[in-house]
Amino acid sequence: MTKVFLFAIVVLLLNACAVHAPQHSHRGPVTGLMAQADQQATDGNHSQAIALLERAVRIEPRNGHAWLRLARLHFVSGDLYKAEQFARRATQFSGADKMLQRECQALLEKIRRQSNKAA
Amino acid sequence: MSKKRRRRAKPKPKPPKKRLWLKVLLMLAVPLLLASVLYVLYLDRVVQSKFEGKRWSVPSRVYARALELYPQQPLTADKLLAELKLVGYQASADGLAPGTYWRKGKQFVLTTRAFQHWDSLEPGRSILLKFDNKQLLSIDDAISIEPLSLIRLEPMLMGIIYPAHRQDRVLVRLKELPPMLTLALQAVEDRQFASHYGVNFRSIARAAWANLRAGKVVQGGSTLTQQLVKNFFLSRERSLTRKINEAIMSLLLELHYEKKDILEAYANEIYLGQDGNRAIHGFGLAAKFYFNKPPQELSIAESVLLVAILRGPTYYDPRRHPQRALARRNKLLDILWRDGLLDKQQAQTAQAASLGVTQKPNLGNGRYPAFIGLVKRQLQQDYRDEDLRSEGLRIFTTLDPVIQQVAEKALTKNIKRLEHRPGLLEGGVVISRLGSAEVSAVVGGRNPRFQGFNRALDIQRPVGSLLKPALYLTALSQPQRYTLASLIDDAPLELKQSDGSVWSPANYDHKNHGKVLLAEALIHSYNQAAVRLGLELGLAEVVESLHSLGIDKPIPPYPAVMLGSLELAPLEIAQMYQTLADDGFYTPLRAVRAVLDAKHRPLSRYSLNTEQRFAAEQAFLINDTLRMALHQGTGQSIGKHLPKSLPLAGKTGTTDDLRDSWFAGFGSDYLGVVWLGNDDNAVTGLTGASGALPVWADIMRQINVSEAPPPPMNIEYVLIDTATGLRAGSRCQQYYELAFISGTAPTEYAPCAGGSVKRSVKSFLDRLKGLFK
Repeated sequence: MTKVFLFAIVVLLLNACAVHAPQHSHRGPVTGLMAQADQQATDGNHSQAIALLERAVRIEPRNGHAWLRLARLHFVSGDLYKAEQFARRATQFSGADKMLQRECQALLEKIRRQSNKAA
Repeated sequence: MSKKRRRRAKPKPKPPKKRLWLKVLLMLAVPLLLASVLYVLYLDRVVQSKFEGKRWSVPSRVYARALELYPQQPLTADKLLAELKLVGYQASADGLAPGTYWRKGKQFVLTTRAFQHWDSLEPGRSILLKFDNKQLLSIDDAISIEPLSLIRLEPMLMGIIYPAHRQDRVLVRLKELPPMLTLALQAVEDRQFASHYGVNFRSIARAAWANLRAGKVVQGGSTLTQQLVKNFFLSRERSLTRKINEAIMSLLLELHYEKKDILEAYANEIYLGQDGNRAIHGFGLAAKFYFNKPPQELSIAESVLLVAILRGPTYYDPRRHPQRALARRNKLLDILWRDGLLDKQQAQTAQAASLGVTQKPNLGNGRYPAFIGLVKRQLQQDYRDEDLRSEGLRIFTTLDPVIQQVAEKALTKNIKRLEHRPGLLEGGVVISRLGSAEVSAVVGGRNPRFQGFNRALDIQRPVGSLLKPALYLTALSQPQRYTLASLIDDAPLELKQSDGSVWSPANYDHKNHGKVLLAEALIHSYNQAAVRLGLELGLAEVVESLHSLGIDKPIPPYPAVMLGSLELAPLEIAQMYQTLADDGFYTPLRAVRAVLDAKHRPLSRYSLNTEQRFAAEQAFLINDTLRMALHQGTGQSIGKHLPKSLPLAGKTGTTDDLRDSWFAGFGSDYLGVVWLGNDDNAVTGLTGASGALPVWADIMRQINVSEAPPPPMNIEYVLIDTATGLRAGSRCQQYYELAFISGTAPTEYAPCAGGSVKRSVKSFLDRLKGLFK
């Protein structure tokens, strides 16, 4: 009986950790702005998405994710040169984040292919 | 006979005199009538065209950046308080009314006002903020206690760009005014407003009778319409013609427009005060000017005070003559109660209220003339000066008023300490944010409120060693040929110039240092090594690097350019160092984010742009060396006292005979450039390290808060022996820990670290030779 009780307590505690721990890491202001920007981009409202991402960059100038999103928006709007420059900046801020590095590389590769096609 | 008969047969003629009169009268009356009709038609055109067209030249309003608030933000409670005061928040018992705050230690409750930012509408809300010593811990909605992740305060109104007549107004719609304001206005100024046709003859007669009895003008019989016509269409002279014009135009105005349009025009036209040479017009601006509130928030007492003032804004000035203003306000409150517009309770409460006038905002006099100068410069490509002055634009800038304050104080305080002859030493400062390249502060001189010469933008002075990083960056862009450990020659040299003269640059310490490490040459700013390296690289290459870093003007490819004979403004140096600080990415400096028109519709956006001009690793090598220059080299007098935890880096600039003192550098968040010198170019006796550096350090210490970003992935640090440029060991006497792009560091060990002897002896001999040269 005691064992079951202890087990229940442990489970509850672990649960509490599971619920609260991620909140701090994911509820930053920049994360929120990026989510809003993604929504605006999905709705086709590019200038609003760019405004939100620039606000994010102002708060956290070294946030590679925000720079990468800006690069993607420029890519979608067909400005390949800008897209490439922003993607390079994003790479610069990716640090040890392998996932982000790969995303930057993938975008740069896409830009290269697109430019070759255009040329 | 026949003649006689004929005469008799005709009717008896009227006396010729009488006929003539009639003729003359007719001849005169017809044209007179015609002229009058034409004149009235002309007035009608005047009235209509002006009333239909753009009624007012509305100045542009310039806003600072809006402060963002979010949990874990590096912001102290005191800094927030400084910001709240600048934006115009007032302390209150609970902080729950818009524009007020309540503070207890490290906790705030404040209520923001809804604000239409350039990119979105921020709703007004009450929030609870908790701080610790270093940061903002949390933001909660003060009503629902829900945690919030990001809030934006309304930005400070930092400046106004006026039309030539310097009338200032903020246009309001009638529905934005509190009802009591318009009711009181009519009750006091024009009781029959709702029913008359523009002119109220009964009230003119009554006023005339009162004036006649008193023997002087004691009462005016003008309606609100006439007052509007007088201010809006006519000159200030007092003549019968003007009175007649006024009456005709009032009737015409009433004929064409509705009462509410006339009242709204009146509410925007009326003169309500003076702020230096800025004239305060309209209730919209007056509410802000006297109470620092939007008109919607005015209380009954405040609304009635504005009506009280308009009879004589100088005589009843509530700041200068509070007793007079109070007496008139309370008299008007009595009238409103007597007329049944207020009940007794309301009237008494309002009469008991204080005037509620806030301190005069220091805006009209131009609080940030140097920054406004930069804003105008950025906008002049897209807007005519005339439009900036009259179209009521809303300009959203990047000014950070708190940083501006820090920079102004640092410059003023240090100049007073440093100057030899009081009142002469001048200076200029530019501060910008890394990443976004937004300019945060501009100080144009020792008196930051002075509207004149803007030294941050307009002074052109030789920049001394500030250009050297471009030279070394050019070298490091060839990583196979140069690293920070390359040995370069600091031996003296003589150059024959095109005019036949000989130029022999010397080191600041007048010593020759022989073969030195490339890093060392930058850290100690050796001139001879710099010129030799420049010639080796080719001056055209170095000039190209300077352009890539962001210096736009033509640069003559003379060797003296490497030692900073080029004349530049602090702003241009800021652009160059911004590219270094942003890891080789050129990002144009911006002072304006967006411009909206008077109806909040977007006109221009100045969005973020960036372009890679140098490899990030190469920029990093320079920046890392500039960090060492500050702590161990030319900047060490101040640098060694700076906390090690602050990742600051920078370069001194000193010119011949100590005329100009420069420092340019950056931390983890901001970049700063400081120039000190005399306007007449007299000797200051200051080096870059003794003059500009203390100002720079004073500012940068306070505004850079982030930790140093990690170096790029492919950077490694290696200990390098100073004498040989080879790897050092524990027995080496002098060495530097230098950064290298992976794979480019020397592989050999110096003799002191057990390496080959031959090279080290050669180098030692070189050094010796250098000493005796």
